[in-house]
Amino acid sequence: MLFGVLAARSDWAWWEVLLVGLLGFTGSGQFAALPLSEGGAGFFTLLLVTASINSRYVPTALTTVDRLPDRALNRACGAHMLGDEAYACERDDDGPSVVLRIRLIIFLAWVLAGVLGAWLSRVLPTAWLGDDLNLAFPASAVLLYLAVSQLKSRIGSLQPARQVGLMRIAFVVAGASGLILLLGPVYFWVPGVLLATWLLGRSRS
Amino acid sequence: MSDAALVALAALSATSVLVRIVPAFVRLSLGARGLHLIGQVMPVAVFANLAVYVVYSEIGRSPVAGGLALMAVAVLAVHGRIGLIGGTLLAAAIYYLLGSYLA
Repeated sequence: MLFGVLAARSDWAWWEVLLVGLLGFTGSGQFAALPLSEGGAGFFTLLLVTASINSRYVPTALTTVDRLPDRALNRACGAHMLGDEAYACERDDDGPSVVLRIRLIIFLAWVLAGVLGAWLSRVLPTAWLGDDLNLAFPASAVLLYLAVSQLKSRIGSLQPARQVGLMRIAFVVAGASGLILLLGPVYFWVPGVLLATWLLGRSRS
Repeated sequence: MSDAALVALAALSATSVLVRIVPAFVRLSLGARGLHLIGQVMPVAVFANLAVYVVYSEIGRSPVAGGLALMAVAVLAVHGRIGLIGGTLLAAAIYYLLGSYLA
């Protein structure tokens, strides 16, 4: 629902929220895409960010392949509706019909709640909100929370010694900060990610 | 459809195809080093850049309120005490209250 509220605050129509929910069902990826797309980020920047945020689905999808139907369309739809909650609800011995039902219910709940949020956002009086109010801040806060949480959970996989890992992240952040000051917030992404990958990958070997 | 919504829709749809639909059909055979780089190193690199992007964007709009509110978000995310929604609500409250006080 929060996604719908934030999207409506960025002047997205309810049917845009519906379409993004149906075709771009990616949970936290949707929260990440909202401020980035409003800020003018391009397709590949968005793809890089949202695919990274949702990269956890790759192993999840690989381990649930056997639960999906054989027909290609049903298989694709079932894979598209995979989410953290569905994964947590399913059991290894669940058949395709049970799996599809679980995923469909959770998927529809997410999509319809987003549309409801967009509608609720329209109902709130606009006079309550000043013209210079930065309505995108909650989306930025969500994004930072997710980024920090992900870094916290992933840092151990790169570096067992926590202090060394934090130092490496600090180097990466310093490099990214330099690039964003030098190239600006749109064009720093690709060199920033490549530099960070090089720094993190290089220091491991 | 607005350009922003269209780009977001295209990127999010492509993301779902890449991370969920393709793995349901194709078995990728990357080496151990490639798997480590794609699956572990690159996501960390992206999230570090994402954090820098958010801080840069919000501090540019409102240095004091944005800086303090985002600092609160980062601390809450590290400790993980009140969750995503709680952390966001608290940071938004700090941001808007401080913003209106400083205005």
